[in-house]
Amino acid sequence: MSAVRFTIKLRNGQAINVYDSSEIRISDALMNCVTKKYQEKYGRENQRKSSDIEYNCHGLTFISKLGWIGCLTEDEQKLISPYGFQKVAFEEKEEPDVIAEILIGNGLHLTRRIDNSKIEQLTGDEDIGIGDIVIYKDIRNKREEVEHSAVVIEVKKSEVEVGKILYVRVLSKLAWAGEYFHMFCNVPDEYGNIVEFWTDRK
Amino acid sequence: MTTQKSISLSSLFSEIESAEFFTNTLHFNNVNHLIAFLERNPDIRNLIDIITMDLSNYDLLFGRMKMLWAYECDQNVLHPYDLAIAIYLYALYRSFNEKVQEALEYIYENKLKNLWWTYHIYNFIVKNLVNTSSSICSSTQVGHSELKAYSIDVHMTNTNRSQ
Repeated sequence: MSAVRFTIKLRNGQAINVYDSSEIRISDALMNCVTKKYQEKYGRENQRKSSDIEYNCHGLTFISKLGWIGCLTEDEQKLISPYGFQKVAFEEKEEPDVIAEILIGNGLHLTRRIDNSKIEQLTGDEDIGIGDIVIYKDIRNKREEVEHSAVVIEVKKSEVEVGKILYVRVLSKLAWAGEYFHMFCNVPDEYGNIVEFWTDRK
Repeated sequence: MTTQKSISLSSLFSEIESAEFFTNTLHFNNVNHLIAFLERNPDIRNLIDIITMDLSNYDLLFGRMKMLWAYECDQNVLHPYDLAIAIYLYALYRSFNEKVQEALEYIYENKLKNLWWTYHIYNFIVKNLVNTSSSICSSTQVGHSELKAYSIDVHMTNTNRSQ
């Protein structure tokens, strides 16, 4: 179900698997439901593309929609035996945080990290530009894993206060759902409470 | 009283097996997202409460799960029944029902389906059971610490995310 489609090599030489979920399809009924739901959330004009399961958010952000990364693993669809609970069978297969490895391995650096519930923290000194990457993390469960990513498409600055950023819009892909333009902070709660801005600009 | 519970369970089945309910999960990237959602959803909480307070409801839930399993849907199409089976399995686990073992064995032995969320939840449960005990029957607190961590999410409200 989630076989490796191909492998990419980061600038630091590390290999990252890109997965294929094309064996799974979404029924027309579900497609219509999800399209309606997110058109209501973000507005019809902000839907760039309806549901497409060939790639996930990180697939859009990092590899031009060529597949899934950071969420699927090769053995996810293999059921673990419920008899005797063979602990060793999966303990050694914990996946590292692939997205963090891509960010570091491709030479990006962090420019800003804020609490998603406190967008006023974005006050004007930030070095945020179009094309930068937005990373969403959830630290509420004592983990710090990347839950979602997006690409900055618009940075609106104040004409009154020099340098002050009024808002940041992004383009992101919502897992099985479609691509949407939205304010960077307007994401589902499951995507976490921390937002980071990363750039490859010097 | 039993009739009242059955009706309540029946209405929950209808809600959970609907396309609209499934739509809530289509932006989830991983099983952690799904579990956080299940922990804060009032329908799932009701379902867990019903199973917890009356063991006889286990048979109703397990029977429902097997009925959905037998449904002849296209194995490679995401279907609301996939999510529903996953939820019923999770409810059995979350209610600390020792018979969850029976449900796990049923899925493992009848692995005819290519189900997305069912498989994810199944593996999540088995892993948690391994981490907390070597035998389900020897511990009714299986996965409690893990679930407690997730429940932190439940009490966090959506904060200011307006545009």
